[in-house]
Amino acid sequence: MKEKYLSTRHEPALGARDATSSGDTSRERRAEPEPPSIKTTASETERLRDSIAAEPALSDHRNPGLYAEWLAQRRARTTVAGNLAVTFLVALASGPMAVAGALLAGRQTWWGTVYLVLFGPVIEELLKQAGMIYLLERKPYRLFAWWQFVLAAVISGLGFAAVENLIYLYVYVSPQTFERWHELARFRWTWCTLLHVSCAVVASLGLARVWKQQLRDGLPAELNHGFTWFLAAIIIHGTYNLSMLMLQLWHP
Amino acid sequence: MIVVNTEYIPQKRIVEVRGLVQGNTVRAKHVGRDIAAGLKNVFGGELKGYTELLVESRREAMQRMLDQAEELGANAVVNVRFATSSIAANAAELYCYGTAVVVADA
Repeated sequence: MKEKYLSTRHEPALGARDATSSGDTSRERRAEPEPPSIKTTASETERLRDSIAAEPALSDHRNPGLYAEWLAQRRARTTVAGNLAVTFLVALASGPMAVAGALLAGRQTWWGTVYLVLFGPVIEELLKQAGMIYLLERKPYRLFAWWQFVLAAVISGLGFAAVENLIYLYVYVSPQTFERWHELARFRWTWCTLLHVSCAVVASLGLARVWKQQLRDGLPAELNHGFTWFLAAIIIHGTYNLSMLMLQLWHP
Repeated sequence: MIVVNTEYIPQKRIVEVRGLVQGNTVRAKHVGRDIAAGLKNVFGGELKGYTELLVESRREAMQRMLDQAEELGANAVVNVRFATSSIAANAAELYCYGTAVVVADA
């Protein structure tokens, strides 16, 4: 067994105090500073999370405004152009990521119908917002207006629809005639695209609500505050998928 | 409100016991964090999403316990303990309890 797992030298709880309080030179040697075997460098948000200012049991040290202060300070160091660029990038990445997530979740399984109507919309709607959820939780100082969420939703919805349309038209579907293919292409690039963008926008309103709540309370984002809007987007998407499935059965 | 996990508070004396107070919570992170933690599990290291989940759960349970103590008119909670249970996968279940008391300077 490696020495670092057995020695007390790496124990954070057995610091320099042990060595200085005794005349034992071997113990002094033990207390020499050495890098800990487990990395303990914390990010700004982690330090905020672990601060005693948020501990209910330490009422004398509580500072409910700490998070809001940090947010205001960090926001002052950002620029609108930079924030918009970050929004654009995360939104651009979210669309294709949602397609990948949907494909990995197993569209071709025996429970295909249940997937199409229920699980597919859940995964797709959540992943379309993945980039903005990341910003909301990790870099909230990059957010300055509610319409950032809507803008990101339009971009990720378009990205998602574009990738999915290409997969449908060139991989999944092989219609007998060019006219049928053209008809399908037109349908996918109009109605399907509109559906994906609309659903993403509906879900994004939930994120905007989470963001507003974060600003009002001065606390880290709680995604569950946007649940109703996500649910609405999922229901719209699921209903559309179900109706398409029915249509396929009646008019193959 | 003084909150300690010992039976007594130095330089204070318990003048009245108000009763057992408790708070609990079952919390989960969203599926995105679960997926990220699943990936991190492959490579090892701290599952930060779940660390965050535990911190939030602990504070929520503690706050609920303190709300009960305040309702009882206590100014301290002694002998505070934490317990966990297992109800749902990917969720943190925290239970916090202690004895609400009224203390005065010794």
